[in-house]
Amino acid sequence: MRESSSKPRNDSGATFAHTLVALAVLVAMSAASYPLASSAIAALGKAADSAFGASRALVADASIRALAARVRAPFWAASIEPANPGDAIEAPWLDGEMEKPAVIAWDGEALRIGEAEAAFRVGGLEHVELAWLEDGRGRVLGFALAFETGGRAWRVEAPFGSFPRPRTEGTP
Amino acid sequence: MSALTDIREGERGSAALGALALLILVAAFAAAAYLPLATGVRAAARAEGKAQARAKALDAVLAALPMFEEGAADGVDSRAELEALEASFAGALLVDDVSSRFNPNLLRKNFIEKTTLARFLKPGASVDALQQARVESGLSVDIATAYGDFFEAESLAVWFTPYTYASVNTDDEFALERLWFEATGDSSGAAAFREANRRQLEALTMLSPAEFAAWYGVEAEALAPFVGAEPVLNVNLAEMEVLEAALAYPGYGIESPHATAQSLTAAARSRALDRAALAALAGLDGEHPAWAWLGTRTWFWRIFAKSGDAWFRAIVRMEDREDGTPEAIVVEFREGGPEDDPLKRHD
Repeated sequence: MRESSSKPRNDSGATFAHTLVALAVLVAMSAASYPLASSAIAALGKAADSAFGASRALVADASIRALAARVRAPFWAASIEPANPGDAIEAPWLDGEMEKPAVIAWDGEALRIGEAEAAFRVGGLEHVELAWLEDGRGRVLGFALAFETGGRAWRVEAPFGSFPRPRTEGTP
Repeated sequence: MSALTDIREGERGSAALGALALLILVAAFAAAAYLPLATGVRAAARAEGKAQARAKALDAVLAALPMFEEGAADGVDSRAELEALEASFAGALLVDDVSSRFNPNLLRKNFIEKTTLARFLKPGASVDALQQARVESGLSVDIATAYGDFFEAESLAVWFTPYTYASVNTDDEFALERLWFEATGDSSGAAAFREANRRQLEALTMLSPAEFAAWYGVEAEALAPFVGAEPVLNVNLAEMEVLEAALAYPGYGIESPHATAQSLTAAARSRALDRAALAALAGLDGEHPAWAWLGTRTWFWRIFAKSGDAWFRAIVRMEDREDGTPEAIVVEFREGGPEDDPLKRHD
């Protein structure tokens, strides 16, 4: 009877001690590896942010270039005037049609790229600036945009599919 | 001793488990980030490669511009100059004259009806309807779509072009009015221009480029060369069939347009034809109305530039600066090769 009552007590004590020691070792291991794991995760997170930023920039770049390539003014049409674009730029002659505008607009949250009614939205951009690509001789040649995303500044210069004639003095 | 061993084994087990869990966590995080990262990197590499190919092709086109300007300085764009230009780029650049054809945006309806161009009309197509369509729908660079109801697609691709300057000596008055309106947005100016063109037609006067401004005024001069009096066809590079059609207009009174066109194209293959040589070969005096079509300059060039595996297509127009020297200006640049171009080379 004595034997049978003492044996289980010894067993449970050993298990508890083992558990405590194991927990302590685990905590010590975790504490020791925390800075390493933490910096690895932070680095991965930063790399992922940067990659997603680059990916967003790439999507914006490809969309803006594709839209600009569809702007095809005939060579006899006068260039549009490079007025201050503000938060939206509109270029006529989308798909070669004078009354069809290509639109790039920034509403503070997303960049809208495309036709007026069916624009593609790209989010996650900051400090967006819209401008015209000009040749310095009275011709607007395309869109020029600057923005930040993924912790980097990007600039897109997207030429139109064709270029109109310069605005010259003496013509309306 | 055995209890200590048990504890050490337990420690090892726990530590290994912890390390494994940590590794799994980091690996899972990395795996989650990998796919979009890899896709993004691949897409970026593709975009970078395409952008580099495009930039290289554009550089080649821009490098060719001074050669066009130099070649046109003597007032003649010859076949030999064209071949030398292509050879200097070792096959990476193909160049052809894309303006020595007929422009369906601008042609007079009686010119279509009374020359060999009539054979390109689709059965039942009317030149009156063509004239009306231009006024209503406007002019277009996409001639295959705009004029597909009037001309056979194959003939549009080979014998016609949207790339010419308008000439008051050869083009339809309503088309000229429409062009003026599209170029300036000024409908009253366009109407006044058509009136001046009508007066020119009634006076049966062919204007030289130098006389154009005196007849049409300073506003028209400011719109040159988009509207002017330069002949469209460069006899050095135009196809025989195109020259034949131009010479076949009955009002010009040329006895054998076919033979004249043949002799012009045969001569142009062996030497550069200037205006004097052209006059001698064709038997045209200085006042002959066929001069309205026949010239020695090319006003629009098409360039195919190969970069890597990709082709790019540019259209370059020529004009003269104020000091009279030629200037080459790129008006179109986009991806596309000779095979998928809507205007075919006729080799």
